[in-house]
Amino acid sequence: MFEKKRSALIIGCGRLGGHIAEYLAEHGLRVTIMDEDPEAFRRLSESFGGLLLQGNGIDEAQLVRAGIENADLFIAATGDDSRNNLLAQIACRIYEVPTVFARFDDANFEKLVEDLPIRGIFPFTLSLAEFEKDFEFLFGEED
Amino acid sequence: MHIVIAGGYEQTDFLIENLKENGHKLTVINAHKEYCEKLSAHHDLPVFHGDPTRFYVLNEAGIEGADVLVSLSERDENNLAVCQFAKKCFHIPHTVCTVRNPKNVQLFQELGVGHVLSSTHMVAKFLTEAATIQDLVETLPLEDNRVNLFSVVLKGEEPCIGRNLIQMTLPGNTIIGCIIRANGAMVVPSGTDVLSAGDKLYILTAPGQQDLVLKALKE
Repeated sequence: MFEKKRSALIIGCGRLGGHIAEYLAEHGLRVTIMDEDPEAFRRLSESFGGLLLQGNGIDEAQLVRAGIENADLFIAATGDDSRNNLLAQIACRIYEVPTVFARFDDANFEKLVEDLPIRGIFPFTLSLAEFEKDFEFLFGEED
Repeated sequence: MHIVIAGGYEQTDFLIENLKENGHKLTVINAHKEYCEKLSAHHDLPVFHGDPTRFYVLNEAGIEGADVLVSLSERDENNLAVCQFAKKCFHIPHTVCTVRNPKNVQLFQELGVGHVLSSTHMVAKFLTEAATIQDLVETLPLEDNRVNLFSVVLKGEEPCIGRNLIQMTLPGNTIIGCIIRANGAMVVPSGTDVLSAGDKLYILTAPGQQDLVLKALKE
């Protein structure tokens, strides 16, 4: 699937960003991950071979230094919906990164990106769907 | 007009006073509870407490159908989200926001915000404009802001020095009303009067054209 060494840029090294970074590195991508807090990188395993950069990514110059111009994949995974919205739109509309993901706690943010080639990741919606599936499985037949 | 003011602190007070005096219908949304209480105690207008980056807060505030939304958050990314929600989900035709990072002026415009203002940007622009012209003394708005009167002192390096007024290309609706010479003499100029170093010019122009006039004096 990844014949050429593709590159991924991830902003936010929280649980989601960190796990995605490890996953992509294991799948042979060249990964760069950025976080404001250098402590956040501690959650990455020792064998993680990606590049770590300190910064919030809000400044375009930081994104350019992190290689956004040549990235094949961009993931906005900070804990802040507004910030992820801005980052994903910069990646998609200004730098035309071919594949862009953005994490949103508030599913309403999908409305802001639905016309754009930005894929939303909605942890809350996913958890709720999981719950509903289980609930239906356990109690669904009682109706 | 129906204007929504989302976020902001001190600037909000000033803006509310100003817009109310001009007879606009206002809706205020602010995340600071105490500030909301203060606002509703002082002004007779709808104040909604909540984070304006939340869709349901904007929805509760009933902003659909408003003409303008102004977003004054201290965080640039919040302003982008609020303006985009306003435009996309509540069909507000005009969105305005401030940004802290001057680089975001162009970026936010490209991302669909109608008007983006950066105070840092405006100060920087002003300083660049004023660089070759010594003192930009003051601007006096007249006739409900339909005319501006302002004065500049020519340093001596401007290309317009030594030229007839008739040779200058000023923007439309602009006139040099009066020249105070370096020796204090007052001249109501005609086209044949020549500008010299140290002249103080009193200029009447349409609002928003001050930059153009300054540029014309420099070129």
